Amino acid sequence: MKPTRHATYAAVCALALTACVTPATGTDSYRGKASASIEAAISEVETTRIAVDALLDDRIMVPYADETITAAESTLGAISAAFGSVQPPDDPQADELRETVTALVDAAGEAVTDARIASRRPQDADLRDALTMLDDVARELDAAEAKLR
Amino acid sequence: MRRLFAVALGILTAIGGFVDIGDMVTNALVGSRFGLSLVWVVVTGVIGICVFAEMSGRVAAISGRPTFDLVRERLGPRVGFANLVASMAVTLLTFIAEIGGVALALELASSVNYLLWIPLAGFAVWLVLWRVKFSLMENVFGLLGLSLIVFAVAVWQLGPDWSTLWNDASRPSVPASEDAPTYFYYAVALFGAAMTPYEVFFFSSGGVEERWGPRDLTTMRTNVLVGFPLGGVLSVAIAASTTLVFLPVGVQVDTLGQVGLPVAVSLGKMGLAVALIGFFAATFGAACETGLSVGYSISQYFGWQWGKYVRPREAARFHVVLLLATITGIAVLLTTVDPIKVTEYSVVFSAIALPLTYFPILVVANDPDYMGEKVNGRVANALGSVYLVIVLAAALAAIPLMILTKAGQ
Amino acid sequence: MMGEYVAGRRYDAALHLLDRQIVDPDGRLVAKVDELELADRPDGRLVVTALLTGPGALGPRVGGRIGHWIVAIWRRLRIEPDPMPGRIDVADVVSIDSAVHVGRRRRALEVDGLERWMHYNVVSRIPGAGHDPE
Repeated sequence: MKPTRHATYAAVCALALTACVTPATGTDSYRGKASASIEAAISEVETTRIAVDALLDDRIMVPYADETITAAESTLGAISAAFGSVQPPDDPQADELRETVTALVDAAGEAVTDARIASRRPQDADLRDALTMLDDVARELDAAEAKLR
Repeated sequence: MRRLFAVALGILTAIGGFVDIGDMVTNALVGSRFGLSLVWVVVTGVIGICVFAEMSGRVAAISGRPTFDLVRERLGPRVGFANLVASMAVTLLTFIAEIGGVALALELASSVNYLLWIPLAGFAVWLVLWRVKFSLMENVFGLLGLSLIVFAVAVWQLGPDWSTLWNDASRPSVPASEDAPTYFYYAVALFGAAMTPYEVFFFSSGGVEERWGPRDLTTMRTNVLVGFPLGGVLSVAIAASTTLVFLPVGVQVDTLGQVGLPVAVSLGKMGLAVALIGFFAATFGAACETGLSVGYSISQYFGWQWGKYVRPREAARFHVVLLLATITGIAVLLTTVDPIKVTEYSVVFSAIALPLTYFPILVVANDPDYMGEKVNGRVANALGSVYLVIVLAAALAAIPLMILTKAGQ
Repeated sequence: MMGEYVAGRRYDAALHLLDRQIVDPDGRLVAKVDELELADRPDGRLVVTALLTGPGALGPRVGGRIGHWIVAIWRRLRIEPDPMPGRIDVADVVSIDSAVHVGRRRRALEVDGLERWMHYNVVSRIPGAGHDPE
C-alpha cells in the first residue's frame, strides 16, 4: 500500500513542477528571434547609412567605405539566412511575423547592396538615392522593432 | 624624444594589452551597447595591471628573472605546466588573431582581399621578431600605436555633453536594452583583457631584454605609470566615440571597419588615415608582443635560452617556437576563421591563467632572497592581495557567464 | 644575497635548487634544475651530487599522463636504448641566488641536445642567424 502512495505523490509533484517550469511558448521564442533579427538588420543598415553619408561629405576613403558596406551586406545575408532557417510555430500570428520580418530584412539587403554599388562608382546622385532607400528601410525597421517590443 | 623612447616598453605592452584587435572591437562594441557604464572596469583593470606589472618589473630588474621563471619555481612543475598550457592558449590564440588584425587593417586601407594579406602579414611579423632589434621594435610600434589618440581627438571634436558622459561613467548602471548577466560578462571580459597574463610576461621579459638593473627601478616604474594608464585612455576613447555615434542609432560593432567610422564622421579622411595607422601599428605591435610571449613562456618554463638580446642562433629553440607559431597562425587564418571570434574564445583560457600567473608574482615580490631589500611594501601587498581576490572572482565567473550569455549576445 | 660556495652551506634543496634557472659565467641560460641526483652519506643524510635537466628528469615530476608522455617522447628522440637525463655535477655550481650559477660554459656542459640540433639543422640555415643584436 505504502509504496504506491509514495509513487502517486511523486508523480503529482513531478507534474506540478513541469507546469511551473514550462518553457516559453513557441510564439514567444519566435518573437524573440524576430526581434533579434530586426535589431541586427538595423545595425547593418545604420552602419551603411553612416558610411554613405561620409562618402557624400568626402569624409571617408572609398576603399574603407567599400569594405565596410560590403561587410554589412554579407552580414545581412547571414541574418536573412539564419532567420529563414528557423521553423515557425504552428500559428497564424507566427506566419504573419515571418512574412513581415523576411520582407524587411530582404528590403534592407537590397538597400545595402545598392549602397555598395553606389559606393564603388561613386557618383553623388547614386549615393543620394542609396541614402534615401536606406533612410526608408531604417524607418520601417524601427517601426517593426517598436511593435515587437 | 629620448625620454619618450624610455617608456616605449610600457607603451607597447599596454597597447598589446588594451587595444589589440580583440580589445579595439570589444571596446567599440561596449561603447555602442553600454555607453560609458563599464568605464569603471577599465579603471579597475588599469590599477590592477599597474600593481602587478610594477612587481614583475621590479623582480626582473633586481633578480634578472622574468615572470614565467617564477611561475614554475613557486607553483612547481605540475601546476606550472597547467599555467603554461592555459596561458599559451590565450597568448597563441591572441597572436593568431593579431596577425589577422594586421591583415584586416591592410584590407581596410587598400581594398585588397584580407586573405591575400595574411601570408604577408605573418611573414612581416616573423621577420621583425627574427631580425629587428628589440628597442627599435618597441620604439616604432609603441609610438606609432599612439596614433590611436585620434579617437580621443574625435570624441573632443564631436562636442559631446561632457556632464552626461561623466554621469554615465561615474554612476554606472545596466542600460535598459541590456540585461545584467551580459553587462557582467563584458565587465569580466574587459577586466580580463586589461590584466591578460602575456602583459606581465612581455613586460618582465622585455625588462630583461633591456638589461634593467637595480638602478633602473625608476625607469621601470615610469614605464608602468605612463604606459598602462595611456592604454586605458585609448580604450575609453574608442568606447566613447562609439557611444556618441553608434549608441543613438542602434549600431552594434562587430567589425574593425565599424570601429573607425566615428573618426571619419568626426574628423574626416585625415583622422581616418591616422586611425588606420593606429590600427596597423597596434595590431602589429600586439602581434610582436604576443608572439614573443609565446616564445618567452615556453622557453622560460623549460629553461631554454630565450630573447632577442642574443644572436638568433644562440637561442635556437626559442626562435623555432616563434617560427612554428607564425606558421600555425598563417595556416589557421587561411581557413577563413574570423580573427575577432578567435579572441573571444581565448577569454575562457584567460580565466584559468590569471590567478596562476599573479599569485607567484605576489609571492616572489615578498621574497628577500630574490629582492634583497626591495621587497613589497605594505601598499603593494595590500593592493596585490585585493587584486588577487578580484582576479579569482573574475576567473570563477568567466566561464559561467560566457555560457549563460552565449558570449555576450 | 648569496655568492658563497655551495660546499659546506646548507640549502633547502626544494626551495633553493629545484626548478631554478641554471646560468653560465657569460650569463647564458643553460637549463632548469629539473631534478636532483641524491646520494646517501655515511651518516645517513642525503646530499645532492648533481643537477639533472631535460625532459627525462622533468617528466616524472610533472607526473600523470602528461609526464609519462614527456618521458616517452624524450626516449623516442634519443638513440641510446636507456638514455640518461642531462647531468651537471654539483662541483660545477659556483653560487646560488635567484638562479643557480655554474662555472663552466654552456657548450662545455653538454646538456642541451635539442638546442644544438635546432641550431645546426634549422636556425643556422635561416639567413641572419648570426646577426648581432646590438
